[in-house]
Amino acid sequence: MMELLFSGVAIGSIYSILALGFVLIFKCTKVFNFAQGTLVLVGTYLSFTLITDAGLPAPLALLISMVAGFVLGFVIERLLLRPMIGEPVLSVLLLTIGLSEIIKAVLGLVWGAWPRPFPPMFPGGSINLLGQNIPQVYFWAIISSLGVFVLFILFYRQSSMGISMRAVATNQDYASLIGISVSRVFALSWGFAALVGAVGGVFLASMLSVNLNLDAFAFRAFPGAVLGGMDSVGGALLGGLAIGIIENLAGKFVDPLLGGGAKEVIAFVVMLAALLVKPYGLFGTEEIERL
Amino acid sequence: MRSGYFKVDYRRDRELFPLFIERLVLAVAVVAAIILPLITDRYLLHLTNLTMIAIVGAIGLNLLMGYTGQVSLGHAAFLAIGGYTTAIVAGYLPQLPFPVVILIAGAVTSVTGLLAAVPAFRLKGLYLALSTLAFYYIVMFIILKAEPLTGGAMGRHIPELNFFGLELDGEYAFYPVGLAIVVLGLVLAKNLLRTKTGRAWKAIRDWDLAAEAMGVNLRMYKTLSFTTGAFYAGVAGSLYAYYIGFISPQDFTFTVSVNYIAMVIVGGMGTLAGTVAGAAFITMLPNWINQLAGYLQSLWPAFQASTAVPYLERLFFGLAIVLFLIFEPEGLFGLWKSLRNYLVMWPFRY
Repeated sequence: MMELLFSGVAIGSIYSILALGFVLIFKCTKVFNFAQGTLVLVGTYLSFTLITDAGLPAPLALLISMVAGFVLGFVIERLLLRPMIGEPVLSVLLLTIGLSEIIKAVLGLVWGAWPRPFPPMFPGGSINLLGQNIPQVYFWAIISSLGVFVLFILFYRQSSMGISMRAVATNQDYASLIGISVSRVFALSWGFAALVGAVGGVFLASMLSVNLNLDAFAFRAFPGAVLGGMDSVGGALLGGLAIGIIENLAGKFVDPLLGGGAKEVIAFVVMLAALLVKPYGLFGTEEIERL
Repeated sequence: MRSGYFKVDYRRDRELFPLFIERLVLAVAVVAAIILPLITDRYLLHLTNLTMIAIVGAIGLNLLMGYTGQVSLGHAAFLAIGGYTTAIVAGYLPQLPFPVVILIAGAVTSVTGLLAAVPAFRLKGLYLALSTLAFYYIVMFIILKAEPLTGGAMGRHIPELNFFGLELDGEYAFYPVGLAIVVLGLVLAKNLLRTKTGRAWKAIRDWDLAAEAMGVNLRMYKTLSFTTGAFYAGVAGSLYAYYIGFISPQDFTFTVSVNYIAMVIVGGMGTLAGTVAGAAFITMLPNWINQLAGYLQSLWPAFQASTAVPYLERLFFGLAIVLFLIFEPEGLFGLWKSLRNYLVMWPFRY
């Protein structure tokens, strides 16, 4: 039971990094980014190539792909999202679906479809934590996702850029009135989302392998973001962890009844329930419209 | 002298095809539809049949997305329900004539559309889109697990089209059936959109709060939109199942949902003529990409056409969605509209 909980937390911490990617973009730009999963893929493939082909040490490769992800996100915002400002939100959603198709196709053309093992970044074996033996990868995944969250929460609370991003999230018009560049905030949000995507992708690939279907996992992080509230950074952490744990429990208790596969769908059942009961999640801001 | 294309009296407004040029295009389309099976080869007719199936499904999505403004990411689930209902009903009752089976498939899918509409009572916009995504994954999971009925991952065979003992098989037999259903579907949709229901849908799309303030019952019309859209999708799924003769969950991946979204966007959201064009474009695109890949390989032998084609296909689908959304949000219909207005106004610019 404890073992299940631990691996649930480990998977969940990755889900929460992936969910953070959705939240970072939605918070400021009010866009549901369906391409987040493929941004994760870009970071993963990039660090994979940097480590295996260029022979760089893993931390350096991760750093480079984070920076590259940031630049990619920034460029995507400037090129594709900028012309869509003022268009209906649903058109923007559909645009990100198109974008994810493009990114995935380009990755497939360059790297091909077959899965590849990710070079080990962490020492093998397991680590003893609270009387439980858990694999090193799990341990580092939990630590770094907590680290990422602490960094982002501090960034939003303390730095002037973070505060102006929160201002834009609260009210774009007022924010631009007091001299905040809304367009820069938008581009930064995309950059940050792609950056954390690279981090999550590397851990995901370390646990599984490098393949083109990893973006399906980012899809399963969607429920985490919805559960926590689409515009809440802390909510993404809790939502992601909850999804990880629920998935593992479902794998243990529901799978024997249905003959497997419950892990892949339980997240969406939870999301549907969350949407029906509490559409804006546990910590999200309710959207109120007035005539 | 006219300065644009306006409807200035009720007679004009009631006409389905008010402009001469529209009637001309329609006449050409009718002639083309009649002579097409006489002049084309089997493969092109096969693509045409697939296009007709896609048109029916895309009309459903366009009613939902283009006319009512409710994005559905789960259209493939509706198609799957229609397809599997056909497989089950036609499998157990092979003597049933196919129009009955198709109607049953449409009706069953409508009922599930009712379920998909429940979240729409509370949610809208992006959150509703997410709930349809969840709906899609749950439906596909149930289909995968209901092995005795659906065959699970192994899929299921469907008997040939049966019309009172007459078996219709192959591309040439399917063509008139598909064509009849497409025409029926288009006429039904076109007229439905001119009624109170259609106007209510457009009002919801343009601003739901204002629509509600004017007395449009949001719940009822959103539900109606979901059931109608699901009905069309169910019929399309049923036709697909009959035509291909075998279905498995592989036929209804999330990519299929994306393809239908691409059809509606490329054709033009909120236009039926555009839906036809978009469905044809997206269905024919893989064929053109195949030819392009073959050409590239002859130019550049290192290019592996067979491995690259699936990715090129996705690339062009994605590009079509993105480019149309940015540069021509009205889709192919928007292009046609500019051309039409140019022709109607000629020799003046505007």
